[in-house]
Amino acid sequence: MIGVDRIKRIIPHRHPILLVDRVSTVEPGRSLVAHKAVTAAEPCYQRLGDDTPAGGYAYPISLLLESWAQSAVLLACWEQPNPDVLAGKVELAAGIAGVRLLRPVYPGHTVEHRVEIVRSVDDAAVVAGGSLVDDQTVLEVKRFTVALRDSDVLRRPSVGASR
Amino acid sequence: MSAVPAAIRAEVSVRPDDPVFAGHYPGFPILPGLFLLEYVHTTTGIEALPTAVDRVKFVRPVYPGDQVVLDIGFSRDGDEVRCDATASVDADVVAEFRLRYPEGAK
Repeated sequence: MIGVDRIKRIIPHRHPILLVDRVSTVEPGRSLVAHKAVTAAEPCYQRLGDDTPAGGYAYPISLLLESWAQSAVLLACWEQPNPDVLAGKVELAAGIAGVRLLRPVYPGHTVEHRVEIVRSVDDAAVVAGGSLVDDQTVLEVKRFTVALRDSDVLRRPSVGASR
Repeated sequence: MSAVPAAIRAEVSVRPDDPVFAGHYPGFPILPGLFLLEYVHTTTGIEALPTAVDRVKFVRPVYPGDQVVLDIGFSRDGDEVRCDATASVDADVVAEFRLRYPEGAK
């Protein structure tokens, strides 16, 4: 079992936005299966009042997709870890296509993310896959493109510089 | 077409004290691109979750302190409501989105 300690040695995401808990299967360069447990203690539920209806606790699609995408980045970077953006490169999502959201995810669910490399070039990868909860598909992703860029190039223009 | 709401324009401030920046990434704060998708979804005012995200294109990163302008339009797509949106900072488009919502969502 590959836990958070190993995950942190491969990708730069950290609390509160490290959204992968463990990796159960990896075939470097090909595929990976990762897991994320959603709980009521997630920061996204912090401000919900006691009158929030059941549907209000659906895990936000942005976080579900971000969690899936982090699994994709884990696979893309498995053999060339990039745990520190300041020392290396920045992973940037370049595009996403063909996402279907089939069922909402709620606290108590453990999401199984499946990712497969479709195509990989020097500093970019195209990844496909989906996510399951209790063997039911909750998410399908046809194409996610992640690019690695030099962090120097992406530095925010300094204050006072023309933008 | 009458059931489809008019276009929406909204502005969102990316707060530098958002806790997400501690982890994305340490020493190099940029907004997770998918947070823009959440901004779009929230701004539509639609309670139902989208059924599909057909396409997202990220043009450049968004930084703490940026003012993000969202332009959101709706149209019918068969039985569904299609939502096309752009996010801009300083009049430059930083991301584009196409989502679909179930019939009757709006």
